[in-house]
Amino acid sequence: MENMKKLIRTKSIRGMTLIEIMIAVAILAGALIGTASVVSVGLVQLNNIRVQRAAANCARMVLEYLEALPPDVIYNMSPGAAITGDFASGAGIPGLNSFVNSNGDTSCYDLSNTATGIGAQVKLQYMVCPGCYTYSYLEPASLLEWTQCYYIIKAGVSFNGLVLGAPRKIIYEKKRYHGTVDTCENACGTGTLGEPGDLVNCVY
Amino acid sequence: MTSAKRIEKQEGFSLPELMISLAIITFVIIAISEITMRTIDAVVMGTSQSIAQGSVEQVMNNIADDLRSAGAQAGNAHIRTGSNGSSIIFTRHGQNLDPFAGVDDTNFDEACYMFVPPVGTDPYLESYEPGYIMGGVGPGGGAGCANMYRLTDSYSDVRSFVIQYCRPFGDDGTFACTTNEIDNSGLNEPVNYNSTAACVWMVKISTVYSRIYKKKGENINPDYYEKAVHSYQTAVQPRNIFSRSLFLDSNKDGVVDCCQAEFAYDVSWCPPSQSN
Repeated sequence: MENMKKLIRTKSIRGMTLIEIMIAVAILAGALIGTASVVSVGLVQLNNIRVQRAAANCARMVLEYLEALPPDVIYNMSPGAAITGDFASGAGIPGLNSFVNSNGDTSCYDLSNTATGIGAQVKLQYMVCPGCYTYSYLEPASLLEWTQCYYIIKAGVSFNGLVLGAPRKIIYEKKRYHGTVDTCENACGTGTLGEPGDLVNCVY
Repeated sequence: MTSAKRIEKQEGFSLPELMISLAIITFVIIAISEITMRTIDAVVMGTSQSIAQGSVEQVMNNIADDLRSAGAQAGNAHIRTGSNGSSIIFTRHGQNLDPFAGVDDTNFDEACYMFVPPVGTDPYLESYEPGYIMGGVGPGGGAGCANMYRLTDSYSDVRSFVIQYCRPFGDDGTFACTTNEIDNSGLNEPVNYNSTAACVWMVKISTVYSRIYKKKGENINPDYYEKAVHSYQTAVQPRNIFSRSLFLDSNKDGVVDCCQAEFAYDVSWCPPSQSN
């Protein structure tokens, strides 16, 4: 019995002091705050992914709208120069906003509307670059030469990430064959097959 | 009593010290539990939302792909009479997908899609029934598209699904979209013809959806669940429906796709015999 009491009183099985408990709790609290911070950053990044996905959908809608228009109509809107606009103000491509924002789909509008919380941060804008080039082709057998015209349409969106990250861009590009020489003949110059002529392009 | 003395005597906590320690530990445990539960809840909700999102958007993309292959066959309308804002039936050009029914079964088949709206307005009520999108394949030949089945999964609540038929007017290419019922029977006198805008048709499909919520049997503040409501839309040009200015003739028969090039006027809907 006496030996057992001695054993219990050995230093290795004593309880913790209040100071030790406080230190342990402080360490635990630090770890807790760290964990919460990681979770918080993760949730922000999840929201950023959602914003990026929504922005990509908006960019796709811009291109889908432009794809249905005759390419010379797009080119004539602003030959070789970028057209910019947003989904809230109505500036930019005529009719695009009413097309994108109809049927209760306000996702693009909300991301562009700087008066709202998320729109004020994201500031979604779209850019459209109508470019074109022509080339001349000499048919070897008949020695007939003709000039063909290609339109290049770049459509994209720019937006800011939530809290984290720099401004981002999502850009789609579409080459459309016109088949006849129209507006772009005068604007683009000519070249030979396989060697595009002077490309009238634009940068945004 | 100092710690040094306590160590010497190998004593445990006093009752007040024990109470304080327990209070601190309890607080920490509750905080950890709260953060853990919130994290799990966010992950579960996010996963559920992702499943619903993936399902609805996949269905939308499949519909868009089908619409791209829409075309006409002599005698069969491109997009059928009766298609409107919530249902559409059209010929799938060059596709005979139903079970072969004999030597005469050479019709291109139909594809059809329909929206079944939700019942009720509060997704937390027991009586609420989620909306969904149905689809199917018909035998062609204008026989209809009766065999439809649910496309969106059981995690998705499709709040709305709108089909619009769009065309540009004016030189700036502004689009006008409508959900009006298609009527191929009349082929009315064309209006608003523009040399760059004829025959350009586009079908736009839009949806608003969310995941399905656990029913709690009582009204919930809409501000809460509306945050999980998402929308998705896409617009496609059905096959053979191109701008007259493109002068495309995909089958090289000398007739420009959709409408004949020499038509000096617009048409209200592409006549099947001319939309080769």
